[in-house]
Amino acid sequence: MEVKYKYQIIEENREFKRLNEILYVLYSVRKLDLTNISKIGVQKCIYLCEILAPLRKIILSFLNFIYWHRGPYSKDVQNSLDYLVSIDAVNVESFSTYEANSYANYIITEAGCELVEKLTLYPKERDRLEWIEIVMRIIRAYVGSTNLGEDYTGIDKIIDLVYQEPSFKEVRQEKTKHVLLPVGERDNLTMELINFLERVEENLPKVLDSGKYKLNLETILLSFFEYLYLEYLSQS
Amino acid sequence: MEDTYIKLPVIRKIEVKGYKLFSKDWEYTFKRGLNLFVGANMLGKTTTAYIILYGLVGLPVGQKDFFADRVKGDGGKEGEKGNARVKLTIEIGKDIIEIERDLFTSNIIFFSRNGQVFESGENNNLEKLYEENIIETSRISTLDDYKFLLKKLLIREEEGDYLLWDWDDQMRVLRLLFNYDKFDAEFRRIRNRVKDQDTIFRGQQDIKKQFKRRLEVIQNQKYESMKKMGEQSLDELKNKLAVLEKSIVSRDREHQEIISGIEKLEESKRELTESIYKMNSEIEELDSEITKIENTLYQGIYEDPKIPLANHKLKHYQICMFCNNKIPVNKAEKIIDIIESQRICPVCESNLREHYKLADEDIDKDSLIRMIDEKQKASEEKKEKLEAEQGRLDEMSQEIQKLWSEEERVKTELEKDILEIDDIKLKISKPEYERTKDLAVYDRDIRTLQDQVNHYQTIMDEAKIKRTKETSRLLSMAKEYSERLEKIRDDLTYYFNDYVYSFLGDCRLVTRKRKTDESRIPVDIFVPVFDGRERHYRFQTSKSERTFLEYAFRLSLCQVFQKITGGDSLLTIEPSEGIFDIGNVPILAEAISKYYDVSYLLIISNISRSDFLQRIVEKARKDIKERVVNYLEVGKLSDAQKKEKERYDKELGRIIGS
Repeated sequence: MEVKYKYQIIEENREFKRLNEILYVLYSVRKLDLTNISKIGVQKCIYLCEILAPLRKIILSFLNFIYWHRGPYSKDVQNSLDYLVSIDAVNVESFSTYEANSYANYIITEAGCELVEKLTLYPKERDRLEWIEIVMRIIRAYVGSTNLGEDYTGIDKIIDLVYQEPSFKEVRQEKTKHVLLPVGERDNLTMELINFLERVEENLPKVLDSGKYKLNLETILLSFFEYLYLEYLSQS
Repeated sequence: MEDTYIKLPVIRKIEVKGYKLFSKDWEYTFKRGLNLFVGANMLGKTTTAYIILYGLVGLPVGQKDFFADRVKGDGGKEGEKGNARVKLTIEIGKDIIEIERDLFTSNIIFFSRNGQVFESGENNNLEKLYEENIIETSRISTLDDYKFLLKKLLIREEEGDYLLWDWDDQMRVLRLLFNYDKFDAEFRRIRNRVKDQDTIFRGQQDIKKQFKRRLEVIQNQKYESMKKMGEQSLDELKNKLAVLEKSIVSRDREHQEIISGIEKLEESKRELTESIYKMNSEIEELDSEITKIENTLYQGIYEDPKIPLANHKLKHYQICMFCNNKIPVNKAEKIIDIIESQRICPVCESNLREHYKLADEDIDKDSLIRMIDEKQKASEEKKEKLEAEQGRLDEMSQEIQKLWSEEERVKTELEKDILEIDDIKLKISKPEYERTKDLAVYDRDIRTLQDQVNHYQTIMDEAKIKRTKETSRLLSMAKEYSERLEKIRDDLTYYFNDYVYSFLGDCRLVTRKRKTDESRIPVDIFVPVFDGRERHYRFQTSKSERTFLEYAFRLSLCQVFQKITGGDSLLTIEPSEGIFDIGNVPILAEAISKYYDVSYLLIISNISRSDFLQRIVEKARKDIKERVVNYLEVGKLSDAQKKEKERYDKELGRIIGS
């Protein structure tokens, strides 16, 4: 019988969860009536979900994001996508290559949706889906209603806001590529901003408080995105 | 008994040669009864008395240079000294002594006893021989006895001493005259012993007093020192020490209790930590189990991801699953065909069907989720418990920290107390040491001084014992002396009264005890009584009274001596001027003349006292002319005297009937 060491079990667990989280992003895209999402979009959405996860007091499974020429990038995201494609949970909607780069758009399959349903039977997975859905809803709101850059389309437009994200922005200003981004670290600039926003939220007049947790979370998230947007505007 | 008395010297003949004081050499043979040396002033009458004394005993006490001065004063030359001599023929008892002395050197030129001439030789000192012979024949102890008797009794100079009121001299004269021959010497010897012992006693007493005073000072210092020690609150220190030692026990107990409390808490903390560790492990185990179940769940949902992933990479990207390198499409298609169609491994050809079977077909997902849920709950419960235990652990740590602080405080106080105890012990031990040291010094000094005091006390005691013993002997001798006096008292009083009666009426001599300087014990001395009063002191009499009484006393003494011992003596009197001023010359002459039949008497008088001379001569024998030395004949007359000589001769002729 194969003996698995503890770290192997944990890593195996993390691999499953990464698959789950990619599925949830693609599931949210389908639920929000968005046709597909590029592999760049998946990277950026997952990054935002990950870096803002402390707001929801959950930990996601993608930690090894690096500063790449088109923003935060994790090969785990791509590997997970490829795997999901391999098991027919995700389909490659379109695929093209340009110079050394390849472009692909992804869409969740019926089988993939079934997997999500199966996974969300488990409460922890349900929480993760919920969180990713919230973030994806706000992303959709911003990419659909603001004049973000014209270099990208659809969800990919969020790249402009991701570039304003404090942790990434700090690394990007250093202009040192391949540097691991401080995702999951407690003292990064994003966390500082989140903490600030949380304190503001706590001190908001109760008239705005519906008494519901989601609203509070979404309010903070909206403030955060507003900040990113303002940064984007001031940048542009 | 009589044989044991001393013998007084009787000068039988005097010869003066080569003395320039006189105009010529002269000699005189004394006769029983009155002998009269008469002349004017400055012709050598008084000097003759000294010549007799000098000739008999040598240089008179206190008049060492008498003759030498006279020579010098006289303008004599050095060469003349050797010519001045005196030769005495002395009768002592039955012995006849002849002695010739150089007046300026005191050397004996000639000495014979009963015709036996002694000469100086290599081994013979004439002075010594003379003294031995005198002592032998007279029974005196030393020649000094004769010196004393001559000066104090037998020669009464004009304005001379008063034996009657000089108690020491009187007593010695009485001792010499009326006791056995060596009595006086023995008395003086014992008295000297008493005196010596007394001197020793008093001397040692003084030294002892000094040491005792010093001893008292040291003892006081020691006492003060001891008192001071007491004042330095030794008791207080000891009390404080006792309190502190009690306190230290209590503090130590408190300290032990704290330490014990800490140990207990530490033990509890260890147990709790272990428990927490165990809980952590359990939680970790649970989490791990959860992860495992999760993996089972996920595995059930997904296929084994490895082979499908490799197949996917190969199929769509023609990428090798091992090295990520691209391979040709046809080669990739062949491998894909093997995997998908035959479901066998392209490398080892093992069956891959199992890896493609979806787990959910066999696995009860709800059951797994429940398990996860259960384990999750268990984990959360444990985490909750862990949190509580962690809280307890924190509290315990705080409690331990608090106890350590308390321990630090108690330990500090304990150390402070220990230091204070050490300090007090040092304080206590230090004075004790110093006191011991100081007291040891005091004790050593005290011992030394006490030894000294004891030493001198011993000497004093010995001296006291000796003094008592000697005093006892002296008292015994004084008693014997008194008994002798008792025997002569009646005669003495009788004679004395007889001499003075015509002058003072009834006058007696009574014995009274007097502690004289010389005797150191109360001894009997004679005190004259007249007009109903005892005349203890000279000032209790007038000058004429005291002079008369003195003459009478000396005459009486010699008369009693003569009566008791049968021994003669030569009593020399040079009457004072004063006695003639009161018109008592006949009474005095009458009194003196009573002695003519007793023994030898020499009266030295100035020729100007013709009334006195007339009176004493009247009572004298008929051969008075042979009893006179006329200094107008032998002396060197001054020019004035020469002018007066005829008148003097006439006057003397009238007196002595020449």
